Amino acid sequence: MTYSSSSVRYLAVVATVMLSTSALAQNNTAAPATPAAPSFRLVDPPVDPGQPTAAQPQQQPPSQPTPPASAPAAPTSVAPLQAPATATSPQPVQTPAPSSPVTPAVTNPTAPSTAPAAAPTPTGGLLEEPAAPVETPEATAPALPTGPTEVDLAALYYYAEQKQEDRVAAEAARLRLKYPDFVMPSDLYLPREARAFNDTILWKMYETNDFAGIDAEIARRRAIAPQWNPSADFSMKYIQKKQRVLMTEATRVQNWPAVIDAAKDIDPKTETQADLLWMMIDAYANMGDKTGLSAVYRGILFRDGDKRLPDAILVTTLQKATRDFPPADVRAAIAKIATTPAMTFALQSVTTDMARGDISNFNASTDTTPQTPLPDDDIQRLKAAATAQGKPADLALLGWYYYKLNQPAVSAEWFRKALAVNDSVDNAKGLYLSLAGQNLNDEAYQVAASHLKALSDDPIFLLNALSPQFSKPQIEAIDPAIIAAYSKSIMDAKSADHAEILGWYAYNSKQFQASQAWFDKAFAWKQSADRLKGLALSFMRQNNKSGLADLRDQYGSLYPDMWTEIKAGPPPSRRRPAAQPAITTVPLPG
Amino acid sequence: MVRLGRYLLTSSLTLGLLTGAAFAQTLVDPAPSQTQTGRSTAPAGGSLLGNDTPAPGAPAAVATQALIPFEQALDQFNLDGEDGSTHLTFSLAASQLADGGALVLAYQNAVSVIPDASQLDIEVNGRAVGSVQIASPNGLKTESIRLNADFLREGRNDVTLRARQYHRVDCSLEATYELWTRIDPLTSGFAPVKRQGFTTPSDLLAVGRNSAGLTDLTLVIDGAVSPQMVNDAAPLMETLTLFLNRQDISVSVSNTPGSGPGIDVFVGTTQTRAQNAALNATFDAAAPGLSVRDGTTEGRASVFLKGNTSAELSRSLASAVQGPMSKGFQSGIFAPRSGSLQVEPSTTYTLADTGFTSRSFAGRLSRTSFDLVMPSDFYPADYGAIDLQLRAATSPGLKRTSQLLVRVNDLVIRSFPFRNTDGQEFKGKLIELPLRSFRPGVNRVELVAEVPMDSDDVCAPGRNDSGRPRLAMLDTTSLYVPPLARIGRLPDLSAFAGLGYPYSGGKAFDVFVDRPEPRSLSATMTLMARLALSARQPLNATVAFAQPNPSSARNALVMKSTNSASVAGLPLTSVGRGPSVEAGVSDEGATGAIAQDLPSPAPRDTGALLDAFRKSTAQLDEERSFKAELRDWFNNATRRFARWLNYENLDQPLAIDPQDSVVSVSQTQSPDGEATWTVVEARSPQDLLTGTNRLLQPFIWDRLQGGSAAIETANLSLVSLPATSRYIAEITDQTPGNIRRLAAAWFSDNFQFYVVMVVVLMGVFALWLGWLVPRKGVRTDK
Repeated sequence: MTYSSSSVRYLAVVATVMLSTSALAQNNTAAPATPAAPSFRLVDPPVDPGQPTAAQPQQQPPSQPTPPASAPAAPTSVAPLQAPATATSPQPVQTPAPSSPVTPAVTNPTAPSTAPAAAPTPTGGLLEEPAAPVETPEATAPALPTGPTEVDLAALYYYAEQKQEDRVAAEAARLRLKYPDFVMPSDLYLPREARAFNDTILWKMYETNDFAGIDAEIARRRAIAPQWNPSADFSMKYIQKKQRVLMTEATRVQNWPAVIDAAKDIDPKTETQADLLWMMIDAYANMGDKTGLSAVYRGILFRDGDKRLPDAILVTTLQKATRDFPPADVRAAIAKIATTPAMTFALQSVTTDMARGDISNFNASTDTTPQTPLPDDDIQRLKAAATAQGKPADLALLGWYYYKLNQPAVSAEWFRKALAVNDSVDNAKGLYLSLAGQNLNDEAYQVAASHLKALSDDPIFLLNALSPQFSKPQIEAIDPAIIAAYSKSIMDAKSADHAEILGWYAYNSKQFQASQAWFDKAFAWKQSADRLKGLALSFMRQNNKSGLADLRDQYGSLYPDMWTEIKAGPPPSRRRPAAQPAITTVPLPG
Repeated sequence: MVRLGRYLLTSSLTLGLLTGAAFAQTLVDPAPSQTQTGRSTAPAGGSLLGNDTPAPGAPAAVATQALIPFEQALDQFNLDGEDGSTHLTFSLAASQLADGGALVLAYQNAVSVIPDASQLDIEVNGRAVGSVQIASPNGLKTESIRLNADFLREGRNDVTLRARQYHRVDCSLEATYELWTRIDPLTSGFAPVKRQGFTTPSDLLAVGRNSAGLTDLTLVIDGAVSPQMVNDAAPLMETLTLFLNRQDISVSVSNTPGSGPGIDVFVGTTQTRAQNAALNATFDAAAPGLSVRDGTTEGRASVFLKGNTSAELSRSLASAVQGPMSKGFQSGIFAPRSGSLQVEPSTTYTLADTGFTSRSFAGRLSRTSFDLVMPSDFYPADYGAIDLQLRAATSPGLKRTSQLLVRVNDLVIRSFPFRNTDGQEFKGKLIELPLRSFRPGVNRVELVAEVPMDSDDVCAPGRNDSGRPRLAMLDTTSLYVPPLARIGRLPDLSAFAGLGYPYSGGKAFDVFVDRPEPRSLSATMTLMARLALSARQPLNATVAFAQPNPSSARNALVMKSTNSASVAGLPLTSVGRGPSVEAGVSDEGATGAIAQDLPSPAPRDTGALLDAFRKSTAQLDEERSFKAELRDWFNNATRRFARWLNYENLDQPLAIDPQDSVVSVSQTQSPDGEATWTVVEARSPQDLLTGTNRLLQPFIWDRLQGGSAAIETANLSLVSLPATSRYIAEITDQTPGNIRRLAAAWFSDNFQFYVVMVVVLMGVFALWLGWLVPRKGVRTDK
């Protein structure tokens, strides 16, 4: 490279100048009822691929292969979560409870809210709380890019005012280079007095949801400048927020028609704010509008290409669909959208939910004929989930499934696991019945004895579980706690039979006062000769002649044959007394 | 006696300015010591200062009222072009140094200035204190820079602002003229942490401007106004103007003190105080001689000049000039003015003398400008040239159209192409600037370097080559002023405005005010103050409320607002305080005044009468003879050629219509030819005041030229007319060399005589040859 002599001289002079010039610049189980057979389908029945219907014009043919594992993930799997938020992007929300609307995430232009929506709450059905919160694309989006300032735009407006179109174009190009999302201001060619309005006061009312105020202010300004419009950014966000607030409030008060009305402008096929779509689903479901419900689901689930929503939203929507659609429809939907390994993996929770539903329906069936086992895939899927997650509902579900299949040994194991996690009456019942089904009566009794508190919620079951111990030929000492629980359950259930059992147990253990009381209760609840006989014997053993005489006077005509037998009857011969205190604790009739 | 006092004052001021520092240490000045004592003991001043003094370390933001303004005139607050700079000053008291303060700059820039790449660099007293992004096209934006004592100094502090600004979308040379940044003089300045009241003359340097952006000096006179009162006060007003060294002085005469920032001036002898009884109490509180104290409102000062006689007033003022005011003069009016050269013949100056520093320029159009103040008796003609020796360098890659243009008084007089596209270095390249393009007084010289590159043709967004230097201009670029032809030729308003000629140099002259009412007096005293500033010394003027005396041999300044006879002693109370005047704005009172003083429809003076006569006879032009039309055409062509030759605007009107002007100013010989009258005339006192204030605005005042000028009523713009004829007022240099230059200058002006002379000489030669050859040069050989 060569330099001309004049260039060298010039550089020398410049260097001299720069040296001599001072530098200025420094410086968020019960089994669900079997859903009614829907009159509609989530997925349209298969049609001839060569004759697509209007409702399914762009869906992929069933034969379309699934991309290999090494293929790039579908654009909807990850990319949207990282897509930069723009002024038109949905607001950041977390996965809402299917029946619980999400508190809208409010965004204002000056301080965008990043507060998450309300934590998801579980709803009826087999759907459980999602494994992890789902975020819509904006949740992880970077901060909104700063747009051009008034200083940046000053020249643009000036050139437009001066009709210097070449400069307008040049300045717009310069701004577009600086702000890639730059768009020409809508008021560029408006008179200066019309541009004098700024949106500050509108944004303040926006923050306080003062929609009436905003509408009034806009009307006032338009009265001054008919061509005036709020900024495109404000207009878009205002419409979105107003719609969200109206839908949220209507959902909160379960005014479903109002929800549908507020959502009239939402196109399920293009709307990206999933929480709003889920509100629509709840509204249509509660209104019984199957057509609308189906349309919303389809709009969410079956989008093509870049319009496809993130997998997390699709998964949550399918979880909701298991509530509103028969499993076959949901499976068909899954088959359509699980086009990638990542999506297949993400949909495991839904398929597991469906397995839960099938098993729950199997368990709830009242058909007493032998049942055909469910597909092993579903059972294994639920076993895996139950083992991995240890959810008591899953464990119990498997226990009842095997109990219904008359495999008490297997069911006992699942109930043990469930009981270990959740000491519930159902789990205790299951285990008791499984053991009893194996004639393991002592073990079954021990299960009942050890879960008195849990089983106390079902007195009949508890009485049936404990009574064999009291009706054994050989009187044995029984834990006072069991006697107390048995007694309490008799009182709760007003069971005459078990009161009689306990009366004989007391009589045979020579607790005649207690036996008198229980026979009296049992006879009072339901009269029978045996109970009157027990009562009379109790009077007799206590040498209560008057009582016995009264009893005979009162029931002698009804039961004339028993009195001779009573006088000849031998006294109880068992020597080991029962646990005296337990019997006396039973409240005697007044 | 008054003249003697004035002479003494003038002599003392001049002497004091030259040797002020030495005298200040030897002379006993009672005023400062008394005012200092008063400052420490005066309850009002003390409590105010105590309450108002911000805590040390307080935020830089200080109320606007506390701002110490920059002293320069409005045009100094403009930063134009791609690389514009300006020098500003503000004054700081010694007591304000320790706590420092904040430099406050409120500015607005052109909408086309790109905010991303443009910045304003700031230096204070030669040290860089920071840079700010130039990004305020929609209104004033205030930047505040905290400065501690290390960056400041007592007295005047220099602030250098340099704006490097580029166009958003246009890379053409023409677009660089769209680039500007304006500093707002009203809301910019220095906000000291510690306030300083007004106790000494030096404190006056910090006085703020009023809402009109003018430095208000109000002469407070109660009761009847006499010429004596005005003559007593005028020297003080002029001295204060010189001391403040501000070109935006507005003097008003009123019977009450003013309000807002400004200075109230009280001047009184024993005699005149007796005529101002209402002010006696005020005067009683003042010390004899010159004294300064806080005024009646915030930001206002009161200056007292108190004595028994006029002579005593003059002595007190002279004493103050040599004493406490000396430093202010030295650092102000007599300090080398940045961007200005007072030239002397046969002298070489460099750009460094104008405050210019060598710098490389990275834009497309470089503009370096300065004022060249030529002597008042300078005869501009084609007998010589000022030699501009260019020391600069250009970078490779410039377009072939690159050139250096030299503009003098807004006219391009020379161009020098930069032909070498590989870059050039100029080591004293001579560029001659003809003397005819200059005029006596202030001349605006601008060196415009157009240095476009081919890359400018692709003005793509985001492309930024603003950091690549294209031109280096050295401060050693020199100007050699040759020997000048010197003669006092009048009329010449440029010498009048630029140097106060012919009223400078201590020459006694009269000031005639035909109607001594507040507005006329305000206009008169404002004009006198401005003339003193131009002359750089007080004027030796005697004010009279009268019509001018045709037989006087003394020069005169005539202030005419009406044809009425003068009435001396008109009480100010009858008209109240004179209205605050803004150029181009008239308030209700002003409108009333105009209505009251509207002239009769008929023309009032000879000039107007002649004009009316010309109009009434215009229809007769069609009947004129061919000979008359040919003569007029020839005269007109000759006149236009002469005006072109003298760098005059050919589109200028040939006459000023008094009906279309607010105020006019013209210089004429007195009727007897012995003196020069400068007549400032308006149709009413209000017009006189409005017009004079407009006339005195720096960007108009510096452009006065020719023999007469006027402020047009329509748009308050200036119209200057060349002198139809000039007369010699004085020959200031009678050396043979000057005579020779005068002759050469005269011939260059009167070229027709030169042509005739040559023709005549050639004729004589022909005749001689015709006579001689037949007799001596023919030989017949037979």
